[in-house]
Amino acid sequence: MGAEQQQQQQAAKAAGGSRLAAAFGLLRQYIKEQPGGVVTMGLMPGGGDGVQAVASEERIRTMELFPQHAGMVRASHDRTGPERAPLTIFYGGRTVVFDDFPAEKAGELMQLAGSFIAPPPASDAAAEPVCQSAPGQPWLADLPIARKASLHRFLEKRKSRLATVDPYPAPLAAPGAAAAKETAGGKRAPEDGGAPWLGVNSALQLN
Amino acid sequence: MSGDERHLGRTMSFGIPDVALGLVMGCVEDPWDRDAISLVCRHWCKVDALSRKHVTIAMAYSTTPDRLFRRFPCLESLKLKAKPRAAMFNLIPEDWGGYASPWIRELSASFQFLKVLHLRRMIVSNDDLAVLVRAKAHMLVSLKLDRCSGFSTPSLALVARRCKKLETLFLEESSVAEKENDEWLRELATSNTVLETLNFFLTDLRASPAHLLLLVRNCRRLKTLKISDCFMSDLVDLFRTAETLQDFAGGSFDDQDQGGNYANYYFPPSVQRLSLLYMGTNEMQILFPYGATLKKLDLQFTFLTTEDHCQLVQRCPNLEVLEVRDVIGDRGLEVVAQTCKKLHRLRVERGDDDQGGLEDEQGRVTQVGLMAVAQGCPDLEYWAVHVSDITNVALEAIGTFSKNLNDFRLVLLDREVHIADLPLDNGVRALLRGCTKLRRFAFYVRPGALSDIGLNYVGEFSKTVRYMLLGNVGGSDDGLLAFARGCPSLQKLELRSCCFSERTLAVAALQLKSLRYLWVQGYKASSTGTDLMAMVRPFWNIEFIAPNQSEPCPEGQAQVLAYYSLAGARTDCPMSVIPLYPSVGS
Repeated sequence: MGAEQQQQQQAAKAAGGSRLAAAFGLLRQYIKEQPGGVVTMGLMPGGGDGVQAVASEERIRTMELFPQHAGMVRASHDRTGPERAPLTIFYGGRTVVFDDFPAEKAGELMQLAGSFIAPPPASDAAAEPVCQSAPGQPWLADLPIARKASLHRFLEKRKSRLATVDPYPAPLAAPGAAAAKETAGGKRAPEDGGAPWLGVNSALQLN
Repeated sequence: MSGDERHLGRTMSFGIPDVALGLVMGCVEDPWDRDAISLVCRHWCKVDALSRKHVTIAMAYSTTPDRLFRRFPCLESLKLKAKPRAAMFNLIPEDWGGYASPWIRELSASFQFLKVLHLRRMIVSNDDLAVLVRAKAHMLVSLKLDRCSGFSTPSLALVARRCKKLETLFLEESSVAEKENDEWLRELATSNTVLETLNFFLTDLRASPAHLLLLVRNCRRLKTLKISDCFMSDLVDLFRTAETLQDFAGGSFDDQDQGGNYANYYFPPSVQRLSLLYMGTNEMQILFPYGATLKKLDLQFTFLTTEDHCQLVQRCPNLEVLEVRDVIGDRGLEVVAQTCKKLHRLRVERGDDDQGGLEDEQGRVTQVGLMAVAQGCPDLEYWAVHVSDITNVALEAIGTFSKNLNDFRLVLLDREVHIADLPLDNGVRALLRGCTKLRRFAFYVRPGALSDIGLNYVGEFSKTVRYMLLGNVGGSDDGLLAFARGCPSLQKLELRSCCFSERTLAVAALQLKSLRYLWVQGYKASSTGTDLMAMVRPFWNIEFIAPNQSEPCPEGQAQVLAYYSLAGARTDCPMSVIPLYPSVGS
């Protein structure tokens, strides 16, 4: 364990003191030792396997989930005995579920988590003012603006179409509309440069 | 009734005979007014319960089918929604829930007058449809499976064969299995003669032109036909046959066609609303002869350039609804402002970010386009727009000119590093002060674009707003707390990518007195999640939606969903949903 902790501290240093990195590094160690392995939420299909049954059963029974299991561990003792139990961890907006997590390891994990929390490290104290100065940066793994599924599918289809054909081919001379378009297209070059269309209706200008 | 008049005294009920009450009740359709009436006294509540024809349940887990039946046994029409709105943006795991089974079983067993059913963002199994058909085939007039999944085309064939009174079959954006099998369409065409609306727009369902032609031949009342991809060159006979068609969406243009084939394309003169898929510059001319009769044009799924948009919109002075991507540009919006004086709804969606020189250079919407539309289209009621730049002056112009807006949604894209005029606090204040009819408001910007002061304004000046989406707003928890002191009508709040702490989110949820539904993604999560427990109260369900490492929830960010529910805690949570239960009797 000592070696592991050392390794974690090194990892934490490498990640600029990131507690998340340290915590997950530690978890990775446990996962390696775990014969059952780790299940990340959602990777687990909703089939009727044991883990889910235990988890949901426990959810129904445990009406007051977090206050009882203060901290980040919740365990079902009645079903799998005190030695091994399912473990759910909420950390930094992420959720990780373990199947059959040893109680001893859970204790260590709690201790470690406590040691991170107890004296707030300097980097943590600095996090608050950052919120004021550069909002949006420190507490989020960048959330990109989501695109509507329908448009996303369309743009994907368009891309695959473009692989075979040019969507904006040169207009044909024959139809009248296309001819009009061509005239307009001729005007486009200067427009691009100076954006004179701003002046089309002076009432519509900015100020 | 306006907001303040909804608190009726019990004395109102004295001396009004039941016959008179029944007659008056028959004329009251607005559910808000009905709610107010039902609160006057038990008797009025009962009269309302027995005469209520339609109910919308915005969150399926907020009540139970049994409870609905006990309150409204004579329902004729029900709309149910389940998955959070974020599901339309691929942010909700597919297995999140929203199963129609318990509802369909109760509807089939108990609601003997039910004839209209609308399920939105739910999972509907083949068994569900079989149960529904067995019980309601002789009754069903309208079936909408709106952005649903879980069923396959043979079940649609069963619906088509057995529900001969069906006037509306709506499947838009649903994910249907066995999509190549279009036997259901043939069944519909041969079994049904009263169909008025068929919509399977934005699905992957295959539809053979022969079946479609048979359908329009046999269903002479067909007004709305929205289909999936199907070559327009194969639909020529269909349009010559569909004499009553008003609304068409779908189709597709052959890659190889270079325009000439569509020179004299025929649409029935009754056509007023069109959405053509994959239409390019060379095909756009097929709409020109119909421009003056068009009331709705959806160009979101086309290949048109800015210039094309200008050419086309110029010919459509009677448009009431226009839906486009931001390739329309400020120049296109200026044409809209000059041409479309009757516009009620305008949607400007986000185009491709990875442009690679494909989209027109001018395809950006900014304060210039916004101001033009605000001044030019005074009848706008719904306006959703994705902008690349924005100023306070533009928002003020909307507050000054767009007096009829009841739904305004603005997303500031992240393409441009520099935004002309931040923060937008004063602009937002002017907009909210000016648009007094606003019921829904979305403001999704970037960090620094709306300060705590701006958030305070939003709370103070959005007295009538019931739904709000805010993204990247505020600078600290103080902003959210100030916001939550206002918003007296806010029922549904969605927050994304904001810097608020769990404790403040919980406090705000308690403070917003009308709040029924809260969805948050991207917040300052604590290591335990326990701070959220501060909002625990009776009948308030709190759930985590855990990130999925794989599609279709790629962002890897947990979400919190909290809502009032008389149904108690969910019992069908998948691994990706983790409920935090309030303790019993707390």
